[in-house]
Amino acid sequence: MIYFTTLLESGSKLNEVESLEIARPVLQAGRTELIDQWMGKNQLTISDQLGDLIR
Amino acid sequence: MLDLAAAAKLVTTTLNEKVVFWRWISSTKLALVGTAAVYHLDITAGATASAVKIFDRLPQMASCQIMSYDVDAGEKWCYLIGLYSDANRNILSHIQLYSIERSMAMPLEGYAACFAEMPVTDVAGAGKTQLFCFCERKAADSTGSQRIICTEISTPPAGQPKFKSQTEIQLAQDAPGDFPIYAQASNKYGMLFIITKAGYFYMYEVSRAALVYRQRVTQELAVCCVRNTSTDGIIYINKAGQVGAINIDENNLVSYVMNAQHIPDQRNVAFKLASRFKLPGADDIFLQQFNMALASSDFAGAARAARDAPNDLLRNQETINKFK
Repeated sequence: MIYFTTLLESGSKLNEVESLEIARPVLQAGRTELIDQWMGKNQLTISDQLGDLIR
Repeated sequence: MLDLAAAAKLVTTTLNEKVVFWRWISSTKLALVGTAAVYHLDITAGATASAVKIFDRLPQMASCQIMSYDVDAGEKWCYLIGLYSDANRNILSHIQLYSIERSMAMPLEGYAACFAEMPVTDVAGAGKTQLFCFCERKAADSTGSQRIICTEISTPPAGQPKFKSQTEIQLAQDAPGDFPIYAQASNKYGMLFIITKAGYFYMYEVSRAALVYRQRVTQELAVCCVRNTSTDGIIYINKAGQVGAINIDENNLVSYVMNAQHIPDQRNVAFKLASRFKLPGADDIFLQQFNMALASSDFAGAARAARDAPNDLLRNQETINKFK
């Protein structure tokens, strides 16, 4: 988690692999608002797999 | 002002003073330097639009031959440069830096200048810093020493001082009395390019004001120098009519700096360049830093190394797995 926190806090955009890796546990925990928040800041890379996860 | 393609008149304007220098500052704006003041004329503002006065020339600029004028990208700052010769026939130069927002003029003494916008610090959230870079030569200094000065014109993050870097210009021995005639920032690579009257090209790393490279590129005076917008390099024409191009080799810049003995602390300079401008050539150092941080359980440090490495060198599944 510290890896993602460091990247997100410094305003970096996560690449495809990273976006998927962070979305999985966050969605499992039911924290969809975090996904919304990062999406809003354009910090996630959208892919088909990510779309499938969120759906 | 005529539109040749449409054979139509775009704008007619009258100034009550002689125009001694003019240049385009954007695709639709013309800067007019008169004997007393500087004006901008927007050619899209209508056929009878008048030129807008930006500032009055300082008294010391009156006796100068105007060499250059420019405006920064945000049109908040401008500078005017004029050459003059003193009683001993030394060629000296005044710079009038002007803040449009604050309606304030700052007199400086120097030959060539440019605006820059690039990352120069490691302060979190600092992003790109806006700079004014100029080649200073004080008339009162009888040694004739010249300095490169890069100073921040934007507002630094809260609690941080304004950025400034400076260094003495080391003139080539075969060109005594040489002085800069053109300065250009390479925002893509964090460099400052200088071309001198004798035809020398100087390249400085802006954050440290460190001389990276010096080479005579032309024996004849470079009469016109412009930015090559596709490479962030320079294209010049000399008095003999030759056209030359100077460009940075993106793939070798970092490794060149890394091995340049004449640059103090060169490994660190190279590493910062690679990190700030996402350039290849220091991959080993990023990997080393990442692995060392991991080995000592400094996970935040390892994450920062992964973030700062160029491209996706360390931003992959393997890295994520190491953090799990």
